[in-house]
Amino acid sequence: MSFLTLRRFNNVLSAVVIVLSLYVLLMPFLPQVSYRWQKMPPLAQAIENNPETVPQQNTLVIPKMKLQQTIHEGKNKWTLNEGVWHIPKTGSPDAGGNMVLSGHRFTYGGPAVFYHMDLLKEGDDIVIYWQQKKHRYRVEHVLVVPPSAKGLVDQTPDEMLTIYTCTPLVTAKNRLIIQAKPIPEVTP
Amino acid sequence: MKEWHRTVILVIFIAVLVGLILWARQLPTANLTQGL
Repeated sequence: MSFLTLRRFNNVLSAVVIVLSLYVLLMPFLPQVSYRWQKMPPLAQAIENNPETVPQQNTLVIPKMKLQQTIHEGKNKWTLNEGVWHIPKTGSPDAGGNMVLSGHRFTYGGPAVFYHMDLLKEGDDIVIYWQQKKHRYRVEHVLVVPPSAKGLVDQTPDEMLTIYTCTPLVTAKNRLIIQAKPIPEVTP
Repeated sequence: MKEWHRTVILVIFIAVLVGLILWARQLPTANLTQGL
């Protein structure tokens, strides 16, 4: 390989190093910038009304987070790589009990479905389309707990929804937990 | 520094960065499911 060819090759390698470094440094913060211009998903635009077409798959909708995501069923934790994971053996809107959903706050190249979960406050609305039926919840508690906290994802006699992810952003130090209770749907 | 020395350093740098990204990709899944 001649000196000039090697030099060109090194220039390409240098560009690759710069691109990879920018990817590592900027990726954790890009969703914060893109959120501003992100469009509200169709189901989140009008949660007060019944949508014209109900999603065939079980779907989680959180307007405050501009989130509309399919709820994935799976036996192990790697289902998290697909998006929102319905933890096995927890409740559901039709069966009752405590329905527990989990998802990533941030991951390189994977679905960071709950990146904006820190925006959720008490009183915010959450909608779950389950078996083509709409179920509405209202956030009652927003908690930050260590991973060792017990009892938060246990089953309850009453129907409720628990969603959890990691916090602070880009770390897994604590868990950000959203507890929501069902509210009756007013059909127009 | 000779040109091929630069090549070696850059290749090592890229390998480290790719390794770091791959390691960081599986980290949240491993951590999130711990506890609770």
